[in-house]
Amino acid sequence: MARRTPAWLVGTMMMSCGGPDPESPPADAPVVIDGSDAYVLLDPVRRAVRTSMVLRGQRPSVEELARIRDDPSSIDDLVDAWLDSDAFGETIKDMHAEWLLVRADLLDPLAALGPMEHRLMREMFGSPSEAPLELARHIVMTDRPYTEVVTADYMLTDEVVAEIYDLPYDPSGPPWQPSHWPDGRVHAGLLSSTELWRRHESAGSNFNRLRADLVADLFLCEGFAGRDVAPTGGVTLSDEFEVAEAVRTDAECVNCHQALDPLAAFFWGFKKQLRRTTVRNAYHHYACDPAPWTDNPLTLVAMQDYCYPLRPYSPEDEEQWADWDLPAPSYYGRPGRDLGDLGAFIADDPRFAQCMARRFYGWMTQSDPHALPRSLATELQRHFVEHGFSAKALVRRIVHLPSFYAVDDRTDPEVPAAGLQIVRPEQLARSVEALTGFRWTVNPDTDRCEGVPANGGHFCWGYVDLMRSDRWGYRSMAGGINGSDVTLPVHWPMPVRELVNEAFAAEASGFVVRHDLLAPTRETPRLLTLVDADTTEAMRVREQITALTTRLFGETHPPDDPRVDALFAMWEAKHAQSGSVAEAWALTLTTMMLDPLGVFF
Amino acid sequence: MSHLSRRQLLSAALALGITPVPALAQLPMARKLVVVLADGGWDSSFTLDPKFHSDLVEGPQVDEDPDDPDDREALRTFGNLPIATNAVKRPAVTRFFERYAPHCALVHGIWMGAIAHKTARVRILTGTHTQANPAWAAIAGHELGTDTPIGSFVLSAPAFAGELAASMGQLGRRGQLRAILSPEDTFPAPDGADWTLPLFRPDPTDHQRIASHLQARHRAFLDRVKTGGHNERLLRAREEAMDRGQRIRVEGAEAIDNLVLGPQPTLNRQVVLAADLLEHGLCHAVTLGSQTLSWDTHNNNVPQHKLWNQLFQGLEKLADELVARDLLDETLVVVTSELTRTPTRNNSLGKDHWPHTCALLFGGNTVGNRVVGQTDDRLESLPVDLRTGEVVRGGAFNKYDNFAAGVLAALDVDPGRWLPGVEPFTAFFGSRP
Repeated sequence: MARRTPAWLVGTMMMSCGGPDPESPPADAPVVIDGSDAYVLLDPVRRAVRTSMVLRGQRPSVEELARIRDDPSSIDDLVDAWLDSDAFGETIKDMHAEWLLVRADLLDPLAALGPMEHRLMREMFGSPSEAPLELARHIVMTDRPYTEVVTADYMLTDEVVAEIYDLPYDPSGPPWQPSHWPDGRVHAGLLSSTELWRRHESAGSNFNRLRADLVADLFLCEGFAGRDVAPTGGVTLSDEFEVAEAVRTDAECVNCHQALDPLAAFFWGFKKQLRRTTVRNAYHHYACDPAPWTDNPLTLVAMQDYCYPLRPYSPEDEEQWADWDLPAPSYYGRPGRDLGDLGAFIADDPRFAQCMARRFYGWMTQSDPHALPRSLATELQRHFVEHGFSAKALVRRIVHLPSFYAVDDRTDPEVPAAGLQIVRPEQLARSVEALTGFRWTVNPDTDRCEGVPANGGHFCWGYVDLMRSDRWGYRSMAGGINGSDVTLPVHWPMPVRELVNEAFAAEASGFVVRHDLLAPTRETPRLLTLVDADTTEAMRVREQITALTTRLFGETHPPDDPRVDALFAMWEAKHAQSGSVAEAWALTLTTMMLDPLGVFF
Repeated sequence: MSHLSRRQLLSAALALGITPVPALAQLPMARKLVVVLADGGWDSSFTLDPKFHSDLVEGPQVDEDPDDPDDREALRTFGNLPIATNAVKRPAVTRFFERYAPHCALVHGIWMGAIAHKTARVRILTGTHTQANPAWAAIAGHELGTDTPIGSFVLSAPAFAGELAASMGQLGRRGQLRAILSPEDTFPAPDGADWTLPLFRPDPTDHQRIASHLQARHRAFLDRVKTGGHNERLLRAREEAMDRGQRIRVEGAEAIDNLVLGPQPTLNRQVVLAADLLEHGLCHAVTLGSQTLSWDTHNNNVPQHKLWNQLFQGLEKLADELVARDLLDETLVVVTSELTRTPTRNNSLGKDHWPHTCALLFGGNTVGNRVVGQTDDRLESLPVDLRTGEVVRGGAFNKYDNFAAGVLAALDVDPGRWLPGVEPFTAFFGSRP
């Protein structure tokens, strides 16, 4: 929806979101309008803040902002540097976590049993769920063609994943390293990821259709599940053979299933389900029996497969679709043999490039990827392809689009301005950690941990990061997804989000005060660089507030600025009430972290 | 001897299991809403939509133990409500309807048009195709909850908020809000950390200082972005969210007294929390979920007995709590699931997804003892008159959007504003003076 801005308001808006701050002089806020005059653009400093938050989940450093002030064109070099940073790799993982829904800690992790009993739940959940995200990170950060997310002939593993599945792993190498599945499956990036298909399982007589739908939705932006399903004429959905007949002959079924079922046929090698309970049952009720379990033709597997090391893929099942009268693997009419063919088809499909361009833009602007105007979608698609499917090139192009760094629309552009964004929980966690060194971790284990299994194993997590957990923490309460039933982030203020953010800010502020003012051996202070635990002189306190404003928001105010006055008054009042310099600073810092400039960018 | 209040008397009766069920009376429109989602897809033939007469449906009777003469399925009629009962496996169902049938309406044949959980969940809770839209519980809470700290609370279910997020609240799946509001109840710092939590907790005066400072900052921002666009709406939403957050902190202490940090709350605990939230005026709508129960019985359908029994234990508890707090007449309770299950069992003796569902409604201005809508012998929805719920030639399917619009209408919320063009299914409620 287009948004018009009265001309008289443009200048003041530049001061609010496009300039330093509502109350600060606008001298350092040059008005920059692109050639089309379509947008009200952020000034260079605000643009750098938005770009850095989106790319890294961190605010620019003081030095980086000084560089921008001196030379606004240095944003290009900074973007390049940020794209090479580890923090951008974390952003790529966050982005893909939202798409793949693998960070779902409300669902029970694999059991810590047998040879895995020494592992904590944190590891049994964290390592497998991060594995597909690490693959995406690896591809993007090494600037390999992004098509490798569906074609890579390797996977990424850490020590825990390697133990779970008995994968080649070099303990002396990096924590996450390329490896290969030893079970005979064809490697095809995420398509051959055990963890992706363990999260998105094929229940009952679904016969991998859910997985096929995910592939079509995720990589082509053309899912099937949203279409109306209206079986009529007495099709018994619980009768697999009747369904197989109907999807070939019933006009209402054929519409979706002629494409869906052949796509699903690529995934028959994966176990339908591989849950914690399955593993526990295999150990405790079936003693890891190596003989095939033949009670049910749908589960012709050996219980040994569900004992460590797990065997999540069975090449001998790859053609089981034939047993159910279902169609052979093909990609929208193009026959294929295996996951490798499927990956090649997807990578070669123009819908893939455009869909991923939409997804990247949508994530980076907190907007609906499907609502992106076709003109921009095709432009980004072309750019993506022309640059060898470099995700970094795509991201670089996006952050340089006026619609990305616009604060509002001036006229009625085809691509609306991104406008203000609200900080995501993962971004907040990273920016707070970068500023303060604080990570909000706790030990959630009670005396017996959570529901100790009666027959062995344990359910101890060790510790969790509250801003990255839904089982114990606040991720979805702070606007994020939980990966299971909250699958769309909320880019909007929420009352509980406010409470969570305030509690987080308070803990981080307490951490800083403890570190900077109260620690017996004071190391290099993180934020409170100009004061000590007994500093009460007004000018020193004001100077420190000014320095914090610069560090936190990139703003420069004189110590007698009205904004500094307000914070100083708060500091004084708290000091008078508590008699504690430390508490006065903790409150002041907490308040500053919740400032609109910290929450929106 | 101290005098007991009506509330205390009712609570004492409740503890003894003798809660008196109120007589039906002329009552005002419902102003409160509780939604209970049986997440995963219930088998409606096990209770609410019996199909014993149909050879096409493998209902609960297929699980009868021939050696146990008490394990027998029966079609019982409670008032006008035909219900599948089993004294051994689902006694809570019988108990609930024996007590509350006069307050209950059954809506059969809600056409879902989806067989994937995610899609169907979005449809049944929002009345639309997209999770970017707010749930109708959120809409109801938003419209009705201008006087309460929160419009709609979500306890244990998907929170579809859309742009109504500023009026929605979550308790956290494991009661995490408790740790936010009660500093002494927070989790400990991890082993090896040289600090303890909380590292700093603002006191009530501090909260006021923070709030007034941020309000001033927001006003300064807003003065410069009053363009009616995204930025202004975002900033105004934060003002609203901050205000509502502070109100939770100030007014919510007593209501969250039953909230425990750590364990996943059972449905029985959730219903008490829901009643607490409504009674203390913290919100107008609450959504509960059966997160601890797995209704998705693809591999074995037998657990449906236990699931229905547990659900009705929770519903009886909910009804009792609402009665004890004098809330039943002003609270509409909607119990539903995103799907029902196939008429027959699959190869694993489980049942798969069936793109229809049904609902149980009670309380508020529900017209009790009423069955509206219908499914055929294969559990497929039949076209009905959306005003009466009667099956008619040339009628329309009661789709998820019609049903959602009907719930809004029952709460006196204009459905046309939120679901434009959708005719509400109004057959289950009556308007009262």
